[in-house]
Amino acid sequence: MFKRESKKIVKRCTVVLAAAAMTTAALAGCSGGNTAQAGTTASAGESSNGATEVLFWHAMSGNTQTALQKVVDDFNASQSEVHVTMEAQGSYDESISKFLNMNGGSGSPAIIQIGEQNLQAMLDSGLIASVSDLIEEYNYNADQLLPQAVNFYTVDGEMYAMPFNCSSPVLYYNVDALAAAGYDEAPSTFEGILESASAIADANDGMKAFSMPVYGYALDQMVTNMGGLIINNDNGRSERATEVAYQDEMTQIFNWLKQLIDADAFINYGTSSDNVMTGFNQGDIAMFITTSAYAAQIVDSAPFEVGVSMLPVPEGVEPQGVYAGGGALCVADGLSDEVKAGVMAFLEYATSAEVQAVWAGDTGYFPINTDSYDTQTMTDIYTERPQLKVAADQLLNAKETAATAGPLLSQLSQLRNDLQSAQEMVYNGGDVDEAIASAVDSTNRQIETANRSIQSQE
Amino acid sequence: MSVNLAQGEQLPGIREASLFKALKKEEKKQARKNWCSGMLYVLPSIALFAIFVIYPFIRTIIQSFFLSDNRGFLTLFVGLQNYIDLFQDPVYLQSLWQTIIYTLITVPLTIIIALFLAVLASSNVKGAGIFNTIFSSTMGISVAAGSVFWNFLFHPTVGLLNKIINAFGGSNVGWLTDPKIALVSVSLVSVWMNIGFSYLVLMGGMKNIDKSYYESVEIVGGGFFYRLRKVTIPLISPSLFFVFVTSIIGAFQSFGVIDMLTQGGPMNGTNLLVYGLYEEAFVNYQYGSATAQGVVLFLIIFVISMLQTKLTERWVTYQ
Repeated sequence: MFKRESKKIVKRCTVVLAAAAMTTAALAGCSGGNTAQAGTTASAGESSNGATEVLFWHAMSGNTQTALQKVVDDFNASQSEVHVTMEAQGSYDESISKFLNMNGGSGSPAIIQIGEQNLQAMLDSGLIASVSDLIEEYNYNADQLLPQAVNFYTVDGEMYAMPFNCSSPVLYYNVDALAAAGYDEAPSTFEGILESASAIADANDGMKAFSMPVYGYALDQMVTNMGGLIINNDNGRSERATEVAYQDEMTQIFNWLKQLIDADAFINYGTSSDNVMTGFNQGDIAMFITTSAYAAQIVDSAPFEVGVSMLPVPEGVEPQGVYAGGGALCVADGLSDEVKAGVMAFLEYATSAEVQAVWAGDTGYFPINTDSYDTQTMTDIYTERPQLKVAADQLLNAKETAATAGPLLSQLSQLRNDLQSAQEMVYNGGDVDEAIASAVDSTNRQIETANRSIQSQE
Repeated sequence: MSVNLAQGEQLPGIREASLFKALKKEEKKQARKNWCSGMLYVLPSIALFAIFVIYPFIRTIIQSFFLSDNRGFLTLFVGLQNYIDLFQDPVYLQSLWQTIIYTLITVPLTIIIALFLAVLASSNVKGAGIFNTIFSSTMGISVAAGSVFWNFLFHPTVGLLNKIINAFGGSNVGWLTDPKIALVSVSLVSVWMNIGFSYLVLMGGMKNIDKSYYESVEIVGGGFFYRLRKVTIPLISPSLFFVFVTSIIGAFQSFGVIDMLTQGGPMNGTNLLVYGLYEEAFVNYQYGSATAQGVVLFLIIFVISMLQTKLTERWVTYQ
């Protein structure tokens, strides 16, 4: 009895174990729960009422998802030939890895939203169509598009993604708290922010001057703004990048953050932008840096007046502006003519001047259609909430250099993760040079491996 | 029958041999028939197993010897290089070490608390049913919802935990932002999440204990701890064993809480094996290295559970 029972349990456990371990090994266990939805709608074909069905994967959530839903619903209501179905597939990176793993199989989307960090990976996959070709084929007016955004998504003369949601990181500040400390607006330099700390604390019951979430994207935009390259070979644009190039600027940024921490003028909220916003709303911090995509939400939810200003730079450095961060829409390769026409109809609508203006007002992204800035809608929005205009200006006024073209790298997400680890190291009292060296080592190793796996194909 | 023949009266040699052969043949035929019909019954499960477990498993092992492109297609054979790189990668070694610590914190704590609660709820107090529901309720909470809730508690400046510490005059603790504390914080959340399941299994084990054992203890005059040590724990040892094994495997495969609360940070301080594997595959598109990690994880879990069965067979008793 003893033996048999125990054997049974052992056997059961081994089976459970084997099954569990193997699914992990097969990389099936952790891709998130959303994949199940994917099979329910086809990317191609006709829906019951005869409209062409277009499946659209996006990576928006919360407030921005609601705004995107509005764009899609309005498009569907505006005509009867094409019906776009939206599917949330998690973050940009999660959504992209699902797309790549599906290899264009059934259930794959016709349109997929990517983050700027995913461009090279999408290109390498060979699963996406050239948007330049589509523009030509369907007589889309590409002149209206923001040139900076077009440049970012253009590689070797071909544009591979249609700009859609453009953002850049900005400095948010508590206008009341700064006014109490004698400031009309946020200081524009690293040194200025550091100096303001004691006045802010004195005037506001010990309020800390500054915070910044652990956020690789904001770090590499700050490097760009200081005129530095993120990776070599002109940010990976003249040739495939082989190593990172941000060391000098990043050292300045980290040293500044360290000084703020040492001066007790800083709160570490970790990786979550939400946590920083909560702290900001509670009056724990006076200034912080995060993406402009949340601008509308931050301005509306704070119980005080919120100011937005451009990214700070070290004294004596002229701000160069940022690259076109945010997201864009890729089109799958090999679609039928009918679906392709449907996709282009949607893209035309989604990037039109009026739609982009409303979308910008609802979120904090800025319009990628240059005509949007002349519309009454946009003028009204910017009059009502001038804060939203800052992020756009930061990009529109950017100098045209290799730095502001933005990095093109398949391992950009990894680069940012490594930078975040380094940032956390500094936040927890680590040595700046050591932190940067470890990030550089790790990213360079990853780039090398990735380049080897690609080159062996060619 | 064949034995009978062999020992039986002398038959002409040829006849004996052919009869024996015929019988053997018949037996073999029957066995094959049995085997075939048996296979027919298990075929569906074998097919499913082959498609969803055996094939991916073999495929994983093969992939771990290659580099691949970002769609997962094999591009370059590198032999054991993925494995060698793995054990030279400080981040991987750190995550291996942290996974062990995480397991050492969460498994004993979960089981002890669950056992304690189960003992409490099984004593004949009024309203034990309500406690049953309360204690096992974390089973019904999804990892995502639970993590969001804990994220609020852990908030650096407005979180409840730091508010309490402030009230007692302490300064803010970086629950999820201090690399020395983050792993403990995440472990706490996991313990809280896992208690429900462990509690339920242990409670089930206790309900099965025959009343007469406790009556015997009463006759002997043993107290609460005597009863716990001599009756309850030995008799629920199969349940304990089960919880122990599944908890350890679960701890080694933890992902959800990490993904929701820390994304492996700060400074990779909560980067556990499966989270690292996920990042390697789905953020960096390095399937070769990720599958190598998967194989190593499989071997670790395999060895641990083998050891466990060997060791625990000694003290697991069945009624």
